[in-house]
Amino acid sequence: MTTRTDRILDGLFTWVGRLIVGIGALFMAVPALFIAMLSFSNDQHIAFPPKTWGVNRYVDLFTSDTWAAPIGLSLRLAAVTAVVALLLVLPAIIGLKRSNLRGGGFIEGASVAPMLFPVAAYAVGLYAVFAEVGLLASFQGIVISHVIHAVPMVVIILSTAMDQIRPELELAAMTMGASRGRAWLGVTLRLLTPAVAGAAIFAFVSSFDEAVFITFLGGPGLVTLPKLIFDSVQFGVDPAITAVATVLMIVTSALLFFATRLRKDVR
Amino acid sequence: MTQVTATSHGADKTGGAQDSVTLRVRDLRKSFGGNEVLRGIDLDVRTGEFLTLLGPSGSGKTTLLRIIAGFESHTSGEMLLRGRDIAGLSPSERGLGMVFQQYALFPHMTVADNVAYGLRMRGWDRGKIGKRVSEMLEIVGLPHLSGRKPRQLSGGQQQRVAFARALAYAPQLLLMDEPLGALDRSLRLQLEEEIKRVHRQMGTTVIYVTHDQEEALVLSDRIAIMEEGRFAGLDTPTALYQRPPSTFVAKFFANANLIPATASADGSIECRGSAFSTQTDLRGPVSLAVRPRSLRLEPVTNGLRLSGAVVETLLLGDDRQVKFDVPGVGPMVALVDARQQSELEPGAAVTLHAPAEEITVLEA
Amino acid sequence: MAAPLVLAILFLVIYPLFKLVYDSLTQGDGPGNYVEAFKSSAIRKAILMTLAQSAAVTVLSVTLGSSLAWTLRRATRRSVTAVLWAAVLLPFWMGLVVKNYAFALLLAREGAVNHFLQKLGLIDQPVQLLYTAFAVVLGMTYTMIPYAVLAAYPTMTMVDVELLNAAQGMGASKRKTFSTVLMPLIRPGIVASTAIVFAISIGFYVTPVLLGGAQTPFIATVISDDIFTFFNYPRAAASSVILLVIAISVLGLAMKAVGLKAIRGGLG
Repeated sequence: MTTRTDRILDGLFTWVGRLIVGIGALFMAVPALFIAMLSFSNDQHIAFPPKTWGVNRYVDLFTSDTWAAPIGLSLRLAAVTAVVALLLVLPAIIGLKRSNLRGGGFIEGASVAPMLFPVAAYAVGLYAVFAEVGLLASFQGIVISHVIHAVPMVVIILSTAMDQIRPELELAAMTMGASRGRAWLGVTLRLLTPAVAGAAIFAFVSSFDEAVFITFLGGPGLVTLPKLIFDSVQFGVDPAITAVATVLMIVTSALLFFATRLRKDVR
Repeated sequence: MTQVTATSHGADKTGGAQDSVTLRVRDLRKSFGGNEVLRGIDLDVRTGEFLTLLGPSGSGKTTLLRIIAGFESHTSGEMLLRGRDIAGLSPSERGLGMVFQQYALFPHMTVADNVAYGLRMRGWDRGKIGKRVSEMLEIVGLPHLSGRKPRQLSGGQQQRVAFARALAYAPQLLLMDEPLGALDRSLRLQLEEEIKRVHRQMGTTVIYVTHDQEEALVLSDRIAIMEEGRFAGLDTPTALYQRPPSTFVAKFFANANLIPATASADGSIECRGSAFSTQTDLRGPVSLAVRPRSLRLEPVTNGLRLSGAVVETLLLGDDRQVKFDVPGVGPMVALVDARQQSELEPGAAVTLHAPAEEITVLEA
Repeated sequence: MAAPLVLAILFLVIYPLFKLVYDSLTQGDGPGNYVEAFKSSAIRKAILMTLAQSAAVTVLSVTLGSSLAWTLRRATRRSVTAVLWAAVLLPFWMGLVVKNYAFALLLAREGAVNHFLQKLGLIDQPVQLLYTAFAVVLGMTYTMIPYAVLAAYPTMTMVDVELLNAAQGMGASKRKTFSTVLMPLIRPGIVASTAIVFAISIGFYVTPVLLGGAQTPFIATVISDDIFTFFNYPRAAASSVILLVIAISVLGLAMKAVGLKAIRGGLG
């Protein structure tokens, strides 16, 4: 039975729990808010607290040429990555889920596993392979690495979505007179569409954000936006980064928020 | 085990034997690997009848339904829908209606669009579709929900929509795969009544799969009881209940007690010291199927007498269920009038009687 | 239809890892690459640093992450869950480089943390926060919390809250309920979460470089140095294999403890 001491200790236990959650939530929010705040400082150098306020950093960002080329490269990479990842995964998942093929689970597992491999080790492996076939420092090489990086998430999203679309729906459409193709297009693929869009966004963002493969495999010539930020933070800080980071944060959040919603739609 | 087919039994119970046949199945077989799931099914489904496939799980009832629907292939045998061979047709070409256990409503379409789906596939014009959809929703009592999405409906409502959807294009044959399996008891009873009413109203031929004996009793014109891939009995509910054709049906469907006995050359039965006369053609060791209700405390002139010890009694309102143990036979169940004396304390000796005309003599 | 994906996995996932192992054993000093790697004090230090800091990150992320996950599971008010989910997913949405940059600014000599500590009178002079192990652990924890939450959440949704009421109804205190009912039920989620966070942590590259600098080498940073500064690819391959073996062992142990399903469920 509960005693008085138990009651006090239980109260303490509850409050410690709440404190942990509170600190956790705060810890999650602070960095984002902090960067957004600093981006509206007009000081020459980054300092806290800012002495003058304004939008100079955003003006810098949109007028200087430093950023245009890396942003362009990152956008192209991300778009190609998203398309290739989908072309690779979508037919595979549909095939595996609808054919009860033996080994389907194994293929799915093998394509998700890279998510858990240490990125650095895997980057060295790719480095060796690319050196062999001359893909180092090439756009195609980076696309390949980004696709493999995106595949696990795309597989997870599409496979969970497919699991939620019951095969009876297609059968029901067929008993009511729809041809196999029509049942597939009008029911299964239609229901899968939000997940496909969500997966495409996830793949896009994962490539747009990627900084490790580009460092190991990109050579000096290919500078993506994350690489540029990475380098400039390492070797002296351009204050405009706060503005870039804020814009990036907002766009990525919006995209990923949208993608998460799309994913939920299927359920 | 006696093999019973539609043509050999109870043909006159639901109307004339001349009734036209909607679906004819002949010697249908299905094996998975080396495993025979269906072992020669013969079935005539008469136009307008409500036929139930009843059996424990794994008896092949769902496989049979899915083969008729065209979702699965069969190994050999014939299937004729209104005389037309449908074995080679895809599900969409068979023109059947199907209601699934988990409803299988399209989540991205409204209730009305779901019901309209089959009509659109048949190329109906929009006005006619609209009229038909509201008519169908009226019949299942959901006209006010036509604009909702399936996930906004309760389980019972979803199943009503699935029912309306499958009936909308007036299929020649409606297949229902345990449609009430996912619902709770009170809702099930309510929907049973509704299915019966709509069936009467629309006159559709129905094949219904269930493992629930009560559901089958309430709904069916005829019941096919399945055991290990073949029919253990196919007849009207009354006939199956009162004259079970096999020990399996007697036990699984009629809840009868099975008692070993011996039939002698003149057709009289000898069982545990009592003897009585019947019209059976069987000779030698037989099984007597005696339903609990047929056992009574008063002696009968021609019939079975069983003595044993009361194990326990349960009051079920007007009836009293008596479980008793007959040495050498095992536990038995009797249902006696609860208004009679109740000196049936556990341990007490009891003698029960069953009149010969209520006993079914079966192959042992 | 699965053929292209299968080929991609064969040539781009399995082959590179195979080549890594093969090269580490045949190029340079052959198996001696491993001897060399373990003899190098820099690599030994990096391995220890990586393991110690990843362990710290794992403990912090899993503690915070499972508390957050359980709160998300129990919270009934929509506004609370919305805010909490947003907070949890924020690091995902921020981008890897951007969040490390934010920590670099927060922890700099003239950054916000030093500013507040001085304001509060806890310190007189700005202290060195950036380029310490502390900074790396903090930044990595921030990155790994969403993984920890998402890995623990699925098992938590499967816990019937009525069970906790039942335990308390039978006289268990809240702490007893936690240790005798809740913990055993969510253990698979916690184990999966721990393994996933640790396996991903040991491969970190960006955070150790930006927040740790030269003071806190990670295996990934010495690998990068070996390739690009010392042009010692064989030793880099050996270090990579060591990294891989650690990750696979941790995941394998977890899989043995709670099954593949819990791990797979923890990935989303």
